[in-house]
Amino acid sequence: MTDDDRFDELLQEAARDYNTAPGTPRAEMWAAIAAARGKAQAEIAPEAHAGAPVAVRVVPLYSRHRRVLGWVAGLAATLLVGIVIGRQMTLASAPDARIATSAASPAAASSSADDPGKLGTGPAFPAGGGPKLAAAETGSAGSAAPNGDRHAARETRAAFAGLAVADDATRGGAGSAARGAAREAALPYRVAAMQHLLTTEALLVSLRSDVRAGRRDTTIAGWAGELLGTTRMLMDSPAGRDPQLKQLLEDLELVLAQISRLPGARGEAADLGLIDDAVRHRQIMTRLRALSPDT
Amino acid sequence: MEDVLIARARAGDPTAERALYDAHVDRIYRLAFRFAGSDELARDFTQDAFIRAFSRLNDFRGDSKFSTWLHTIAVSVILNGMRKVKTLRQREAPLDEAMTLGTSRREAEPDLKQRLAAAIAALPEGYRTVFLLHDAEGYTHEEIGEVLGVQPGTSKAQLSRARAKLRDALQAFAGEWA
Repeated sequence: MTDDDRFDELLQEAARDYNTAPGTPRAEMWAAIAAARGKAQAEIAPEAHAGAPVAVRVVPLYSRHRRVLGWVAGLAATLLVGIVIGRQMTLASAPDARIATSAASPAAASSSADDPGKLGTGPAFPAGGGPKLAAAETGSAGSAAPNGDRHAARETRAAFAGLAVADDATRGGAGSAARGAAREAALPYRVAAMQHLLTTEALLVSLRSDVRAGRRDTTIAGWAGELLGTTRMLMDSPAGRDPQLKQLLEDLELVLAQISRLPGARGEAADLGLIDDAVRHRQIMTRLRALSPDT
Repeated sequence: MEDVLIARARAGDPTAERALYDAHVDRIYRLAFRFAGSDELARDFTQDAFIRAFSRLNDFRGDSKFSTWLHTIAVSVILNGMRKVKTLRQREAPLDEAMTLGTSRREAEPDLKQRLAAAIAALPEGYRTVFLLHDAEGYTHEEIGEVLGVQPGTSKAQLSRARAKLRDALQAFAGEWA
């Protein structure tokens, strides 16, 4: 064996002793690795935080309400446009309609002057009103509800269906051009009112489920405030000419005003009880559901 | 078996990641300690190597063994880390020397092992890396070539030069192995 070989052997032996590691601190290093991995994954996708306790992803309520508020804003905009168009068309067609009314249907004209809502439920209903009434009588809401509720639903449906008819009648009901124009004018209000009632129903359902689950959504008051404004706008629109729909809107105004004033993070039980009483006493949910598009 | 673990780890299974870690951590930590000479640095390098490996697991194509791929990452982390440490120590050294100047007594002549350790530490990075991987950790030249991205012949040449440098540095101890 040469000196070089012996030196290499010595080197290898010395190298094996060079910076010899003590025992591997496995657990401590793994803890640091897992923490770093968890943090990195949380930054990339907070909901998929692997390796650490995973929190159930909950869609924040505010985002749900933000979507609803978007609908409300759209609704309000539709309503405003409808009001403007409706007023324009009413002004344009009013003289012709009055003439046509007095010539073709004096009874209808006199009724419309006294109570336009009656026209909607009267025998002079156009084809559009009939099926809606029939649906109200045979619909699932009606069959499941008690007699009072069924009656309320029928009345509300009739009132809602009568919106367009009332407009037609007040403009005379005769003359296809005037009737068509009146229907067109009433359409934005019908759409706006329908959407508003659906949104309001969603709020009331949300409130009820929160109350039953013992939760308290602090943003619901703001949501109710937005809907309250739309309700008042609808009451001042042609939709508010129908007495039964007007009655429903007035009831909603009261309930929404109560909800919009719910105090702080935890509403008082008494306040919630009053709201619940009002909703039940006035059969608001039944009346709202009677107007659902699928019935 | 390891392929299954890798697939599971890719899918985000922390248990599989832990299994892969358990299978390789000893060797990676030992390698890191060889280069760093301190537990603290060795831990940092080892942790960093595994974190990088797990986050880049989708890049592992299976062309080489997983252990080779992992050691490539580890060596890269260790060498980069040691460069930073060396730069930092060079900045701090003048201050340390000034503080100990005139107070230090002449140390006894270090024995062969201490001198050898100092000589290894003083080797250029390329030589030192090959020397430690081959003579201390037992890597073959083929493995070193894969890990460092060089030809096995280059690894052999660098090892030869590293040994020559060490022999020169330890000339005073020639009689001990002659």
